[in-house]
Amino acid sequence: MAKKEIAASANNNKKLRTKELIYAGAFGALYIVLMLVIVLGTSMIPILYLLAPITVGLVCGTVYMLCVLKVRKFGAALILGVLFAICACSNAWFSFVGALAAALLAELVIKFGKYRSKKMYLLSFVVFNLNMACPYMMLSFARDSFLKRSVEYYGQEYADGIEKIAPTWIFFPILGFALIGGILGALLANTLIKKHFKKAGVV
Amino acid sequence: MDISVYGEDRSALVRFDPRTKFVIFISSLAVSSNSFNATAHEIYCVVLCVMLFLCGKKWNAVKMSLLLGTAVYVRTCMEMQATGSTVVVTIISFILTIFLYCFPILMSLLIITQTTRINQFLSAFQAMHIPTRIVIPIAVMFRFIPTVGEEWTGVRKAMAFRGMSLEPSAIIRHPVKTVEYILIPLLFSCISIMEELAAAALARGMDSDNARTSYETVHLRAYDYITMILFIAAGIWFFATGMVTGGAA
Amino acid sequence: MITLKGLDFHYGGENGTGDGVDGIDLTIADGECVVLCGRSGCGKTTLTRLINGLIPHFYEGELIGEVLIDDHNVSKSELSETSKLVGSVFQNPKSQFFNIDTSGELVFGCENIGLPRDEIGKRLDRTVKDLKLAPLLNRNIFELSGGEKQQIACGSVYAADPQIYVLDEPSSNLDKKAINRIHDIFAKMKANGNTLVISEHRIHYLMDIADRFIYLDDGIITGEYTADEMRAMPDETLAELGLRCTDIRNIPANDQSDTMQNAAAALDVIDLSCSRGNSRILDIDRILLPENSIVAVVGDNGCGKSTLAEALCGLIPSDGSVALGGTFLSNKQRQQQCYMVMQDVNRQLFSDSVMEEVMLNAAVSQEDAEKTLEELGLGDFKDRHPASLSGGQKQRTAIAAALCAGKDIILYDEPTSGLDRTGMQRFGELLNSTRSKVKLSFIITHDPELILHCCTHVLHMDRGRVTAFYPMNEEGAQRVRNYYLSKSSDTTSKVRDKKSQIGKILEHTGKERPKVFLSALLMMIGAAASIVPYGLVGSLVRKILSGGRLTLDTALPVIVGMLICEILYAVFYMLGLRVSHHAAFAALENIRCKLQEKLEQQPLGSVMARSKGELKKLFSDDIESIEMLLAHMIFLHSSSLSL
Repeated sequence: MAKKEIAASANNNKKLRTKELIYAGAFGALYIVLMLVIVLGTSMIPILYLLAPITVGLVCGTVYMLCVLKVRKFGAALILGVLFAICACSNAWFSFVGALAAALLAELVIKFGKYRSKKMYLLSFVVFNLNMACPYMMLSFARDSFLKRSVEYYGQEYADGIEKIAPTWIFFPILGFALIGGILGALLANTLIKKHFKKAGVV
Repeated sequence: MDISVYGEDRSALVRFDPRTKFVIFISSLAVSSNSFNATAHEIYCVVLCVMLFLCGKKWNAVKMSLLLGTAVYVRTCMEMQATGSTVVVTIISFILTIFLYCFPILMSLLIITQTTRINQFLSAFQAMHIPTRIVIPIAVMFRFIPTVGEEWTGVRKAMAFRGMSLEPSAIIRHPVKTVEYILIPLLFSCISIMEELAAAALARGMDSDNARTSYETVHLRAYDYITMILFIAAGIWFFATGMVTGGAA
Repeated sequence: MITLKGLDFHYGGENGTGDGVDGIDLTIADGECVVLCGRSGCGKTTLTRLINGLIPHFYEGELIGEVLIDDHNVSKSELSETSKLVGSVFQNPKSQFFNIDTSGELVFGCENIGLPRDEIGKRLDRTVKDLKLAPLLNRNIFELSGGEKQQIACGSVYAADPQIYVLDEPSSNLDKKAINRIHDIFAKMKANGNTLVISEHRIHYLMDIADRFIYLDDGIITGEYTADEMRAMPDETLAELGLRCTDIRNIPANDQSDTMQNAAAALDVIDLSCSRGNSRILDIDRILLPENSIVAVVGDNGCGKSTLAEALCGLIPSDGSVALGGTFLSNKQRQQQCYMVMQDVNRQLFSDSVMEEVMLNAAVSQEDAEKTLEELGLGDFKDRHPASLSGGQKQRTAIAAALCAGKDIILYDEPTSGLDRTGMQRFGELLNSTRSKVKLSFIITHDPELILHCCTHVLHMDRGRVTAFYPMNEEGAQRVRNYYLSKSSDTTSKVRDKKSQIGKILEHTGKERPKVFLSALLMMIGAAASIVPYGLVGSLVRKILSGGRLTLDTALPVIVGMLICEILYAVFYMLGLRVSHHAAFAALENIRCKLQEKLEQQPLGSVMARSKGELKKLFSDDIESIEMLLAHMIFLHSSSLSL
């Protein structure tokens, strides 16, 4: 099966020009607004709040793909990642770093495909969506200090009760959700882009 | 969505530089992850409320301090006499603890977003010598968020006439189709606007390689320096005691 | 001086359409004002982009030939260099601005050049003075009307002080007032000696500023006319060229009144009102729209036209009743029977082909859909993706979808804003041919030619109220022409009033405001004093319950305490009430004075139209009833709340 190639842009300039910076910022705004609407809308129901990596991944996959396909240079995914980290992960430094790492990894995946390979673009979103798991990091990594503080405030039985409700290993299922969300989002993005955006000539 | 104006400082008693507000935010991060001493934590929260008051949002400051007072009061009551079913008590105390934990971060974010104008932010970034390449996407993001809100409202109205409903039952039955109906007009509309925006910005001379001046000015004055030093000291103190207590336990 | 020599350009690259311009040889002298006109798609916009440098730096394609501004080669130099010589204003007010506040946007161009702060300050003052932008300073751009946004865009370019101004359809989304304002701005620019290159459909407002009109057809310059020649051109020639009218007084009108005799009412609106926040934006007593009519809604931006349309469709919550064909309908039912084609066409296109778009969720057969597309001139584009079409074609696709949706009432929001004469006439003819199928067509428009061409009735609105409703006969046509020729008022859009009801009342009390707070405080003390007796009685009861005996001696202090408290309560209550009456009286005085001032500013006719009794009632009875409210209600509420 022949690998699908995306025609290379005539512009070989490697650095991001002003036009592309503006596009990245605008797509960042789209990504953030959609993510906030989904998270705030579904966070009423606790189980849906934990499933947010899947729902957000599904919807925002198309936004991410459009951004990187329109810009086609190093830095598009990174800018999206930085904007996401500022807005959603500012409550703990390790979440921030985690989101940045996911964005950087996604950039490297695209670069590995030489900005032409469609499979690499799709894979990069799966990696990028790992950043949705970062805000939940606090549940796992900070819980030790959280538990210690609870002991000081409320006593040992309270801390035991918390331990029963949310186990330490809750981070790993969330990571899994992020991967699933990434795959679903990438597939949906692929369909939509082929059906609409390619046909209209936007990308 | 109705984010019309992000923040304004028309009614501020003291005009702090945005960089001071960033320092407050960072020190709040340090405080909240190391707040083992309840009284010190409460004093810090009260100081933040006073800062919000000084920066202009007086009613909000009063409301937040009342909220803080109620939370501390309820928690003290529950500490003294935990009557009632254990489940309810646990849940309420859980919520309260999270609230008090997040309070410094929340307050410093409120101070930043509600009392600073976007132009002051961008001016502060430039004064901190952050390259234009990073400032432009952030500026565009702030400017584009209300536009996305407007487009979303328009798309929702257009969907109403086509018989595409947005109720949860419809979303669950045809998830992919609903997502497609929402995303496609929204994305095309936003792409069209962003292309026109880029063309207009470029035609008016914006270039990430050239240096830009800024009409808005941000000055660091004496009280800015004093506030920054105080907050940095508080942050270090909390961090140090946190390490000590955390290490000892 | 601008020189275009042997210019040949076609849009290419990845997403090109192949259109463009051929063999352009044009020279524009300094200080000249040139208007580029022609049908849609003739290449006017392409020429403007060639001059301001967006081609080839932003829009890709094959370019042969060169564009020279004095010695500066636009195609080869950097866009940032060209922007110092050429300032650009674009068509869409919503997507041009980069900042959120007006003052930041005005200095945007200067900041890009890198001017020092004092210079920017000087230029800002000069711009505000020359272009009369003082009421628009320091406002949120998202709250301004379209015309005001275009004024800010012109101001932003003016502050950067370029030699040449290039404007691409600047009047395209603007109402009469805004068009007058930008006309004055262009006159000022020309008086300063700048060169203006304007590409436009609506040429009637430029007749006294333009020096030359350049006519393009399919990418080639086929005609050049002076302003006098243009003015003298008869309407038939203009129609042949596809150009819009040059003088509003000469627009031909189609008299449709004879077809509308004895028509039943299709839409009956009673007491419809909408509020946003705390101000009322729509207030309608009664309108009756007849069946099979085409109603044009006219008025300045911000007067409530879009709100009326949305309220009729049931999109926004409103008070009052709307009846369609005799039955009163709820919001949801109205949504099912109405269809609105909105101004922003990109938001309404959902499918991946024009055919699919027209048949989406509609109960129409394939042949009917194809026939509608043919009538609108879209037959060749059946399988194209809607987003790949031009603006005018997209608008026609949305209109086709509306007509095929099979609904009773169709509303159009600015359907002809960017269309040339042919497009507008086609739209009018299509409306006429579908009049029997659709119960009512409701068009919000600023286009006098459309109104006179195909509408049967005209509805005027101002500040949320209906000011006139008349059929389109000869007299009606003259009224429409007079409206578009009349001078506009000088008001700007108001800053959104975020005060609550209580805030507004407090504002009216003026100097006596401290008294309001004082009385509230007194009431609260009185209320506190009234609670204490209950506590005292409670202590007595507890004593009895715990076994002690109740004698007069032990109970006496408690009883005395209760009496004192009751007396305190009565005294504070009376004091508080007295103070609040003072404040209420002062508020009434202020309200009466304000009302009197407002009445003096009304035109004489409207005052005389009301009966004497009505005015008297307004001044005496209505205002006095407020006093009762003010004096008693608010303070009782505050005291009960504190309890």
